[in-house]
Amino acid sequence: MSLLSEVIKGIYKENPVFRLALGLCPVLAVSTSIFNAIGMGAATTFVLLSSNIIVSLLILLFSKILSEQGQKSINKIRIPMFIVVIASFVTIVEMVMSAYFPALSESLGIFIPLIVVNCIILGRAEGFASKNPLIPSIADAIGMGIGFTLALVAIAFARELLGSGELLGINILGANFKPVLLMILPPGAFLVIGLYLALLNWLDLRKKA
Amino acid sequence: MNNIIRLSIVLALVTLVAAFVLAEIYSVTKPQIELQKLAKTQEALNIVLPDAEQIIPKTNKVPVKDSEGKTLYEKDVIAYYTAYSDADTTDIIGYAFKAEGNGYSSVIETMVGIDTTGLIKNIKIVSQKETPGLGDLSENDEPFTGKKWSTQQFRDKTLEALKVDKDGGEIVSITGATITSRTITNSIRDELKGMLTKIKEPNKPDMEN
Repeated sequence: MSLLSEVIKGIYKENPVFRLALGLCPVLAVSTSIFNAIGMGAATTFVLLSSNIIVSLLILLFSKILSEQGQKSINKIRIPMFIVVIASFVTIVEMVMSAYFPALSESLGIFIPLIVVNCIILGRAEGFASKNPLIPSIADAIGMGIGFTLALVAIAFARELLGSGELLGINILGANFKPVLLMILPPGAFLVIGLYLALLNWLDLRKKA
Repeated sequence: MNNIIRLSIVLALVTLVAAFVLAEIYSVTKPQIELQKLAKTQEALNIVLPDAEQIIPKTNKVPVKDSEGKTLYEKDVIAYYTAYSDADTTDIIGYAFKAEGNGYSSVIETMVGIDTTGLIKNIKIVSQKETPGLGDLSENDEPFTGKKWSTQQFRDKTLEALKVDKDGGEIVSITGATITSRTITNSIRDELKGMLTKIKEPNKPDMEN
């Protein structure tokens, strides 16, 4: 499998939100505006990339310095190790963001620290980075990160446009447009995700037929 | 037994490295984060007291007690700010204070500026984490038209008028976010009441000393 296809699979075929249905909690919460969606996507991509690199390197290091039996026993503490790595990077993101991008950190609020428990990141560390060499792990993280960001932006596009009549904070639908309040509230997120999932499944079915 | 020791050492090493990296980044970002907070307060003060040449915080000593009620040390807490029209702090033109209240899903902090007679000059929402998309509407500071919530509608309001329209007051609440509007209005009213007793005689602002 080439590196490029490793990247591309995360965007469409194995899109974390629409295909794997992973990490839906932050998707529901921060997809109210495209600005938030891009910020969240970038933060998640950074954590995903960094943790995939470190996890892959850690596994490589253990395979070099430990015996076969040692590696097997290390396997028992791999999840706590991954969590420490992920939590460290999330804390870094949180500190850097509140120091240099206060507006973004304010609007994302609690959802930045909650990246720690975003199942996409642990899922990729456990399911991919711990079993693959460094370079494919990087490709996987980039693909998954882009896929996650695109999914967030796609959902935020619909919600921001209908829920506040704006895109990226710029008024699109004019002053007379009455915003659909439901779209900004959590049910709007469920609705939009459901419709996107249905659309993608319908496209797949049509392709097969 | 050997195995447990080995696992502990590996996990300890991983967390040690993580803690070291985090400590380094914390020491770099800490001053910047403090700076951002200060800048935000200053910006809010400039908005609510635009004519002030100098704004000086009035601090109160608040004792910090241990579990047995013994005073450990005294902490400086900012009670309110006094605004002067000149640099030598002789001519008081107004005051500013922070109002706080529990909204729909967060604590809402508002900076309020008043003149020496106790009339509100302007307010600014300093922080809120209400429903994304809806709560943001509370920060709207466009010129007040009489139909839509704007922070400018608080200008020149007296204590009695500080109630949302649903409670029989003069404040136009945010459509779909009455609780948020009510919290902001009520917290300002409560805080203003206390403030007015502190500046009992409007033309003799020296009373506060």
